[in-house]
Amino acid sequence: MTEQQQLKKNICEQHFAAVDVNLYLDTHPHDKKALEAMRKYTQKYNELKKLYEQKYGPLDIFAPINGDCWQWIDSPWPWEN
Amino acid sequence: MFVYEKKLQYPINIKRPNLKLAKIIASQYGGPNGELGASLRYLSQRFAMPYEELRAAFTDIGNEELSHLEMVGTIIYQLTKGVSVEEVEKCGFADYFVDHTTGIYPQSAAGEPFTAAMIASSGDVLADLSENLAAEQKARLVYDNILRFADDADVRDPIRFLRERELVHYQRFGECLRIAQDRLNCKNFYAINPSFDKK
Repeated sequence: MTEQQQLKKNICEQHFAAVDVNLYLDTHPHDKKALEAMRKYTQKYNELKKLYEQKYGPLDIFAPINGDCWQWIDSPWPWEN
Repeated sequence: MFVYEKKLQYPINIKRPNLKLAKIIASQYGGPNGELGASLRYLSQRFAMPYEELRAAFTDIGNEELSHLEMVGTIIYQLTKGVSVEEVEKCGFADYFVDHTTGIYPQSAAGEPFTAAMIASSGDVLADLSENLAAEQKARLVYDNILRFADDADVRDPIRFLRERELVHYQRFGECLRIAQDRLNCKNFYAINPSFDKK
């Protein structure tokens, strides 16, 4: 696994953890432990996403623009292995 | 509003094409218990939800189903990549191939195209939640059936992940049902439809 793939994997892990806790919080909005977990996962996700986008390119179209061409179109797209 | 994120919810890296498996797994793209129906079901039903916890849960689960639709599409794409016409014929894939080549099309494994008749959106919180609890179990059993046929670890791993999510969604919809019932008339849950009737 390349450094880029490893970083993306870490981002996906934080993202998934946040998605799962989000669903739990929807039906348990006053659960302090879950809220704390959500804070941790989203913070880590945002940190890693920023790092990835600086080094390798955008994960969504609102990412900072690097260079002089539109990197959003660059492969690989998520379905390409 | 939706924003695309350029990543899968769970990694998929299938190295060996398998047309027989692709045809079966296609049912979770556009079949009666598939991810397209799931996302449309929850994202349509949410407008009639009378409580904020439910509006959030339906939005977020519907949104996650779109990530799962993308994952199932990815599995089919990778399972059909680089195959020859001979393999298409040998594996019984010609009836799909003739109309769609190896493009991704929403249909059941038996070839029935996706239709909105596969989902319900009733405008009634108890009816919709009962539909959704059943829908999650049906999606879970389809993944169980897919696992009976899939012997490639690269396929089994993401299918197991998707199966697991059906269980989590079932749990959350169960909590939604409890929340809804707690706020209805405890002597007669059906006395009014809080999305429509004035108290």
